[in-house]
Amino acid sequence: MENKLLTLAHLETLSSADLIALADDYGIDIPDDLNRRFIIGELLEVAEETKSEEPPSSGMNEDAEIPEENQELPDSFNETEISVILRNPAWAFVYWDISAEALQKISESPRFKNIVLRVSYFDKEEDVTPVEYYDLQITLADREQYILLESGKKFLRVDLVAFFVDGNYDSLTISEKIRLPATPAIFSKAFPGQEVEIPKILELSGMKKLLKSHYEKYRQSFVE
Amino acid sequence: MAKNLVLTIIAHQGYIRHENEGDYALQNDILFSAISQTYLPLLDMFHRFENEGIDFKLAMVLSPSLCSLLDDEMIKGQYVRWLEKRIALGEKEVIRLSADEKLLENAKSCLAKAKKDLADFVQLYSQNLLKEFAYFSEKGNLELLSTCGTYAFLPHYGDMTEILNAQVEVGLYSHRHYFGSNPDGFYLPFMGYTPGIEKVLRSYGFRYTIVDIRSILFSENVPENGIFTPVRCDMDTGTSLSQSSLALFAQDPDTPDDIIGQGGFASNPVYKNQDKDIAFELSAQELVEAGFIEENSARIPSYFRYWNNDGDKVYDEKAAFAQAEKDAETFFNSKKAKLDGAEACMAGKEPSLLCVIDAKSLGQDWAEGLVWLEKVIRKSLSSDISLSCPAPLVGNIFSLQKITPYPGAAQGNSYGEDLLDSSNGWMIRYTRKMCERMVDLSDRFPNETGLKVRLLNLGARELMLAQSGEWTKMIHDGFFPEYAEKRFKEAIKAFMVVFDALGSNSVSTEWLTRIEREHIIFPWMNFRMFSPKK
Repeated sequence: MENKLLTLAHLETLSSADLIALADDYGIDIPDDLNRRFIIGELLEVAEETKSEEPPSSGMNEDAEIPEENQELPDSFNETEISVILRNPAWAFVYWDISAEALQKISESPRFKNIVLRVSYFDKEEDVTPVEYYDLQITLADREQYILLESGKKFLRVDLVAFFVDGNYDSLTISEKIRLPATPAIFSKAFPGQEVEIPKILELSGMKKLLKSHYEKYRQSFVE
Repeated sequence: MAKNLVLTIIAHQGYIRHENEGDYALQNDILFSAISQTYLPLLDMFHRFENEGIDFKLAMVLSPSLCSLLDDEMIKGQYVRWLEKRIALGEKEVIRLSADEKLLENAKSCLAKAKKDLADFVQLYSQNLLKEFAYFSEKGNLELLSTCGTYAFLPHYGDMTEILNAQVEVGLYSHRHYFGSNPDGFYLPFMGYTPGIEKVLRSYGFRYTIVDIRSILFSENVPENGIFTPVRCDMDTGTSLSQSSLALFAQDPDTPDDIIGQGGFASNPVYKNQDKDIAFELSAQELVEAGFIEENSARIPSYFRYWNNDGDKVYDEKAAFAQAEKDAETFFNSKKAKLDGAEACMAGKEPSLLCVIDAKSLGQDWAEGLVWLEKVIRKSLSSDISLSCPAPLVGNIFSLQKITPYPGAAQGNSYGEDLLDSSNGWMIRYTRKMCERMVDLSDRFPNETGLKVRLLNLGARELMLAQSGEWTKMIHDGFFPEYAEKRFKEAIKAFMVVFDALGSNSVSTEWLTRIEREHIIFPWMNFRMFSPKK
């Protein structure tokens, strides 16, 4: 299948940028004074080599049982991880998974007190210390949560943290930091009833209607 | 001074393909009704313009999954049978309604339409509609934009560069495969803009995309010409892409409401009632006797529709077409007023306005939509407003104002919220996990051959099918939600089987061959599209 893509006819249809990318995929070094003919020639050589190196069979067992049709999707992938997706400027969607081992360790611990989502805001992506954080109580059975975002914040990270009665805690997993959209400057002077001077061309573009509808749906985005 | 109106039609169809026509008649009907109500009449209109020597200009998106279905021999055969059933029903209807002049007129009109569709599809177009669209694209009447492989909502994968690359690359490859050209424009499904996508699009050679107005107007540096000229993305100057840029057009915010919003054109009482169908009115026995459905099977639409939106009044085609002309004039004049207003503010610059029109509005949700579109195009011929394709309006990209776009979409409450809510939020953990695994697999098995390549390519196809934006939307909208859930789960499960098979070095070739046969989308799929770019 992949050799079908490395035919002269196909390679001729590709842009030079695509040829370079393809050559890169195949680990071909491209000199600075690149030449389209050169890249195509090299790729065709790779195709030839690959063809001659192809083993007669994949070495796989081909007689495995046919998978069951009615199997349900797994509730867990047995990994402890957490992800955050920005749903809109006001809400983030957080989902997580806890491995069976971690879940057992926490739930069976006599010292286990509660589990929370720690919502932290940062000024910069590389910052270690948050400018602000708070905890959201969840249960061991929960696997997702919508989070209302504070306006004017720059980066968000969510940690899954188990607390114990002796005051210790275990940070089970932390999300990647996600960048939050900067609050458009116009929001600060665009409250309903407030006279905001909008150039005619932006009014024709629909700016007034847009601000009104945005305020109705996401009024927390507007900062006073 | 030229003032340009860009009409952009978005045609997309989820990958709904079933060998068993009887069990999935309602789902198959989605595509077949679109062919009859939108794509054939659209081509008909193009040819009419051509015959009259009218050099029309339109932009259009034909999504890869739609192209795959339109190019599928099995689907073509099913569509012919679908039409034949409707013709058989129509013949009976003409007899049944012989005593009712007004209804008879409507039945005859529907029958004539079904017969014309069959003749056009089989004889005139030789069952190859894509070739026709490619023809008008080559002639310069139609600018075709590419879009994602399976219409994924990209903001949900904004942090997964390999996934963005794969969706864009499959879209580009599909475009070249079906139309033999390199597109300038890329349409973001649901206009879902996420920061960083501009770099991906630019790296694949695209020159522009289309966004919702908030992505432009909420930019920190608000464009001085509003939505009336394209702008360009402020690219990362630290990369080789700093030497290039991506242009952004904002859609006219009023067009969707003008057409299908509350009180929009489509809701006029004189227009055809698209919900009242004779297949839902006749007795089951009559439908069975006409050979339209099997005994005890679900009723499916016939598209024999005789009534208008005003209660039970009989549809009057002449009156409806006259109204479509009036609505075309209203629409055209409102866009002209905007362009005239913009021209007065722009000190010598040429204003343009891009209107995005869902293909479903043109014939499916609004029966007279294409009559309206034709009138809009004809209206432009005698006006100082020119119809244009988007690419020529980009011009020298470096002369465009640079902005940093704001995230947004033309879906949900403007951020695609309905694609991630309490009805469908459970899905994303599976798609994103499978995304991680696919990237991992493509990195772990870069040089595989034989059976493993088949498995890896199948895994790539199944992942892309799971990412299809319509599954989440159908579940949210309550439009065949059980079916959408089933299809989504099937794709995820198939991917998981592939993943396990590669891990255990063991597979059922019988299963593999069956799934490959059922999901023949993107037969040229190369799993390496998911590889991290080194």
